[in-house]
Amino acid sequence: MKRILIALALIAAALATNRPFDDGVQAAPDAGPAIDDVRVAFGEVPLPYVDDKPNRTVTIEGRGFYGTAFGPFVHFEMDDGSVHEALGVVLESGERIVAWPPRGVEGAVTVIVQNPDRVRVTADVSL
Amino acid sequence: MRRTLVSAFSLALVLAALTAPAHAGDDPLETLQPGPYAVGFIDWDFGSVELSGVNGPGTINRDHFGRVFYPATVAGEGTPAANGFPFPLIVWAHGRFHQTPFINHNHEQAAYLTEHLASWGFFVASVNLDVVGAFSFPAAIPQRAELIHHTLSAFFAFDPNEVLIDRTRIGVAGHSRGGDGAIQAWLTNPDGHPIHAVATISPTDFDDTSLGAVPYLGLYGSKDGDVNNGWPIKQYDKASGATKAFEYIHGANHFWFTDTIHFSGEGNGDITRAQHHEIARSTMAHFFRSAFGLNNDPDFTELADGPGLAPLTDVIEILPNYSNPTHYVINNVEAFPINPSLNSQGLLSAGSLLTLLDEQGLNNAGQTFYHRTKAVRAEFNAPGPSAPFYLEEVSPFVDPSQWDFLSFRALQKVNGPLNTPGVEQEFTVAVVDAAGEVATVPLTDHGKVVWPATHTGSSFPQKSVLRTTRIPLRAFKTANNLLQLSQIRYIAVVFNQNDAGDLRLDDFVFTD
Repeated sequence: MKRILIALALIAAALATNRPFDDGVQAAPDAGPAIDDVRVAFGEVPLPYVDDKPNRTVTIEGRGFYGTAFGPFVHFEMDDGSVHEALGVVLESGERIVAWPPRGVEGAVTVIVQNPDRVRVTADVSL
Repeated sequence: MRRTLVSAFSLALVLAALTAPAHAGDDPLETLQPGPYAVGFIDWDFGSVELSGVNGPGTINRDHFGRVFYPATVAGEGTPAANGFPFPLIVWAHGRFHQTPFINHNHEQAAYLTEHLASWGFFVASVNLDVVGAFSFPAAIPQRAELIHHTLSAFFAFDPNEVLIDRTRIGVAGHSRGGDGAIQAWLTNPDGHPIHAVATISPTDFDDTSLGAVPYLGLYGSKDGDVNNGWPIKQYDKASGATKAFEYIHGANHFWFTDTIHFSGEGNGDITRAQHHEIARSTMAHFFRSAFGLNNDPDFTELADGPGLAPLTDVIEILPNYSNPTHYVINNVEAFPINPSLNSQGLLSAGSLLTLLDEQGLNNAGQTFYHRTKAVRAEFNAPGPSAPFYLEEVSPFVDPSQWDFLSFRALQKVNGPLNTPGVEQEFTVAVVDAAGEVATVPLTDHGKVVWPATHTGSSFPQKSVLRTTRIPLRAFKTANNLLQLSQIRYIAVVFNQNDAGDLRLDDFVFTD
């Protein structure tokens, strides 16, 4: 599998809502985890995957990724300002996301990763 | 002729005396309290199972494990089962909170509910779905349904003399993506398991699925900051073919329906976590007991008619929606093309002194509507002695006395300029028989049209949500003993309490 490391971005997303904990026990911290140490890589997708998806993946490594009923979300912003949603997103761990970009997402691209609580990071990359 | 009738009717309403009988006693649902059984539990692991591929063709293999709760002689892990078996089986499908340390433990996050159900005589298998929780999108809902089916099949495979489940009475229930999976489990059911009841809390609806002929209960909070797109409301509206109930709970959020999970994106509920649990425990236990013939409320009408929800409703505003398929439709406002002058019977719908009477789809988030239905749009702004009203003609070929209730749904639009913030819309419901006898009942005796709950922040889109009101037909007879219930020819909503209003009305039916 051909793998090209495109960029290394370090974006710390601050979160400080300072809401009190709820009345449950063993509650998780009120603030969601900050996303940190993000790296983005493009690669070819291993088979089998659906035919109508491009054979490329984007691997996003970092810290603090998580999902609820939704998310994390991955979008791609092109130089022309258009934003394209990933065709598929797999949260392999809190440190690693694999996403499928739509066809035509190439060249200078800003990868946007957003947790369910809207904390987001971006990384400028190019193909 | 019809206009003459409307005018005469209007006069009769103006002259009609309004009565306000005392409110019925408010006894709590029996299932608010724990049931008669102690609860045992066992962790199970059935090894690897094969699921369909998520990102394409092929299959994936996942570990199939969970925790089962059952009626026991003594509380604790692995304690002997109680007498009273076989017990109905419910599979619980948890929601997704894919974050350490909850991964691989989310099936333990509704113990407050699963233990309660077991105490009421259910064998509750909570299956772990984190094994497909990595899939953000596609959301792996079919795979959740497959895991539910694997769970049913695994327990069915035990010797009936060893695992004492009632193989004829099966329910599925779930939260969030798990609720979506429970619905799809009923829809797919490749092994034909006898799933006779479905219950959900804040379900997603990634694949736009609809339930059919199976009793259904849905719960959803106004302060849900995760599934905040109204999917659970639409899911209730779409379900058809069986009795269904839906509780829209003011101040409830998404994750406080778990034991301990807290989601920073939605923050605290406006009601306590304990209150979330009380509502889920009492309503779900009552629902499943009803669906399986274990109480005297087979159509779970207590979840619709208000008093049965007390004391919760003393402090928590709950908007029940309810539909029983045994009914006669006066106007469900679903006819196409739209014609606000005709109801579902092809008879007259009309208004008097209304500033606007129309039909409107309530699937329009920009208008604060998250339903999947159409409704009558009625606006009035006429302070004065003559009350505006909305009227439905009833076929002379129907005998309403064979039903017990007149039922309808209503809402006031959030931020509608004709509505007063924080103020309920009150009105009078009237019926007229063929002889012109009029009987009126105040809405407040049986229901309400509250100011919609709203919450600050972009996580909480404002929602205007319908509420079902069911008025016993005998209440009209009590109001006017000369009224012939068998000959009701008109029903009307008389806006004689508020000076102005912007309401939606839907699903006028006679029902049981």
